[in-house]
Amino acid sequence: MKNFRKSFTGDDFPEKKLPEGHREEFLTKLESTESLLIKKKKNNWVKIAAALLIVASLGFLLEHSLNSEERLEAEINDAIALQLREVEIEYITNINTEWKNFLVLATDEQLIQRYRDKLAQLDTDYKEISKKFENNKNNIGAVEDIIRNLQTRLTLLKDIQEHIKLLNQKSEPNEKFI
Amino acid sequence: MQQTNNQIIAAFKKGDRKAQMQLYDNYCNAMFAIACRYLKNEEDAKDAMQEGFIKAFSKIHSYEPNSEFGAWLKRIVINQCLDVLKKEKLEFQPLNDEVMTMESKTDWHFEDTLNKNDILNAMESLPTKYKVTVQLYLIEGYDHLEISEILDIPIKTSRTHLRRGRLKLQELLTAKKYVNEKF
Repeated sequence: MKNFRKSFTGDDFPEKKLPEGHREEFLTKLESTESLLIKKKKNNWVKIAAALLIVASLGFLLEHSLNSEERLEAEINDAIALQLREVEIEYITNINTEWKNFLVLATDEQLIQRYRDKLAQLDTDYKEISKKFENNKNNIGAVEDIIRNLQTRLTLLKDIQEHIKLLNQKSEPNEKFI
Repeated sequence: MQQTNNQIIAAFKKGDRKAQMQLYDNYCNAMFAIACRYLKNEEDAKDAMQEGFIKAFSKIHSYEPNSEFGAWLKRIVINQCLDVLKKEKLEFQPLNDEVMTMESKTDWHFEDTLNKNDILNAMESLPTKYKVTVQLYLIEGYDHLEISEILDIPIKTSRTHLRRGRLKLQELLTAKKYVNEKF
């Protein structure tokens, strides 16, 4: 029996010749892409300047239209939204890592499907709660629900990892015995 | 070669157009040959290869000089080809009835009577999604994780595609062997 993996070289394939003029064609493509990038960068500066102008104008308007109490409330809401976003990112990163680990280790298809369904359900719930929060940032209940949902997902994944560990421990002594 | 490349890349990072074209000249033929393995139409393969170069040039700052430039570029060109295939509605999503089975390295061992040409010819008859995964594994030498990253699918799905691709390939090769023995 032969193993051909990684044994193929360029010589194993029919020789291919690039059409004439490919070099000039490439140079034209390269130059046009670069000029597009430069234009885009210039446009970006215009956009950034415009955005800064809008932000400054809004700031000015807010300063004059809101009284101090309202401003304080808006600031608190923004701070909560920012913190929540940070927590979300951290949890979602952890969840993705755990899920990837699980997919590498897991062999039981039914088990994977069961967990996948549960996670999908939690994901759907999460989107709904997030919408509620977006509509009303004063809704502390929605913030708590979001955190709880993320925690449930992470706990679920930790359970899965524990499950795999147990399976591995169970199978090891048998293998040694055999 | 790698040291020379690094010198060219250093010049390139300083905005030297000649260095860009030097890299293109050094690698265009090899990259075109690779693109032709994925795209049958040579014009498409040439475009994908050139787009791959432009992408690589635009992110040259993320290239680490310790790694092999050709391998880094090759992966970008392959991704470019796969983008073309995906636009043609090639999908790598799992089917509902997939069953997780661990692959063994010996599963990829072939009969002594078979040669590389037999394998390549049989691969041409595979459906594109299986052909691509088999090609990435058998010819380019990427592992499961790399394949899942390149195709942007879960590792389990890439394993399934690869397993199915191997089984189909073996089926085709067995049929060929049968025909050869008969005549």
